[in-house]
Amino acid sequence: MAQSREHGRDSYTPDEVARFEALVTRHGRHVYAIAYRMAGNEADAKDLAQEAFVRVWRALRRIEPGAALEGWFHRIVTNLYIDSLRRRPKVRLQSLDEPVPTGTGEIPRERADPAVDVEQTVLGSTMDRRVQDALLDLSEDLRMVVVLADIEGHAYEEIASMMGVPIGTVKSRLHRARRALRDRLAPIRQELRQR
Amino acid sequence: MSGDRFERLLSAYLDGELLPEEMAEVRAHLDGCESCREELESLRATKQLVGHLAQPVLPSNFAAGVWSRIERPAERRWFWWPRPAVALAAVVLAVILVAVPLVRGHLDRLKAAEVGPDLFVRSYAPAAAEDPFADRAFITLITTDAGLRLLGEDPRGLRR
Repeated sequence: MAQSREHGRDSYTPDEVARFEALVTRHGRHVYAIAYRMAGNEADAKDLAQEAFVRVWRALRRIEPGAALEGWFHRIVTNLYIDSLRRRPKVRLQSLDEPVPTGTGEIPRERADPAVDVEQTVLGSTMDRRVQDALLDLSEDLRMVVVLADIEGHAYEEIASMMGVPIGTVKSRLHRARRALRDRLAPIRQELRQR
Repeated sequence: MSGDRFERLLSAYLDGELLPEEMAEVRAHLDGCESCREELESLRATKQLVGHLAQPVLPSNFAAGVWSRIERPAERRWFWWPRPAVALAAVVLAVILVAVPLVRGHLDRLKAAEVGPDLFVRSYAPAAAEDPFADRAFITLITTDAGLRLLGEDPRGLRR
């Protein structure tokens, strides 16, 4: 079809193909890491990260060599992630820090206490899983800010430009996200203090 | 500043993302506010927990997967048309749907008009010129379900 011919491997020069391969090598790990933290599992993370590179491939000629692509990758991954949620309507997404609307008002959402499996907790992968689960409980806006700030170590200004929101929004989202995580991760912090 | 306002600044304080004067204000407040100090510590510990998440290992077939996506034959390609193309196609279709009946109707009306009055005038005028006092011609419009029709006494009848 027209589009696949237009964007197939043959449509670029060997230099451009090499440039793209270098991009995958250089940014692959990083893009996958963000996708993993956003999606929470390997299969979805791989899908997201690979699709992000397909977008880069299609736009390869418009990307100036040496351009800062990190922010761009973040934005692609976020948008792809949000798109993928829209295409999966069976999964109803609700942020755990959102209250539950009832006929007579709103009540806080009840959820399982992560402290119940304290005895099974070991350092390493289980801890990792629990932190990841806490991240997944956040709405994607809040999760993205946490991933960019606390995992990727970006400054507020960078995050604001990556996400296309004002710095004040980054500030308040990060604070809300950390408070929600703090509550969710309180049992783990407790365990760590006791060790 | 109220305690609430300080509380909201603690995350940005932790990240060193406040203006210098705000940093100083929060620092001064923290000296005298134990609950804010506790809050700050809990946020710091949370940030560290998240920051220490292990870097996920990139699957070994990652790059190959990217290439196979790029080379994959298009599925439901129409669906993946860029949005402007879809919008343009929709506009063109709408214009065609509106324009075709309009133009056809207009042409039909032109044709009908051509046959009616023109034929009548052309055949009537010479007869009227010949004998102006014997003008028994009339013209009538008849509306039926099938459309409009012009009726008139055939001026050629005058010759009879």
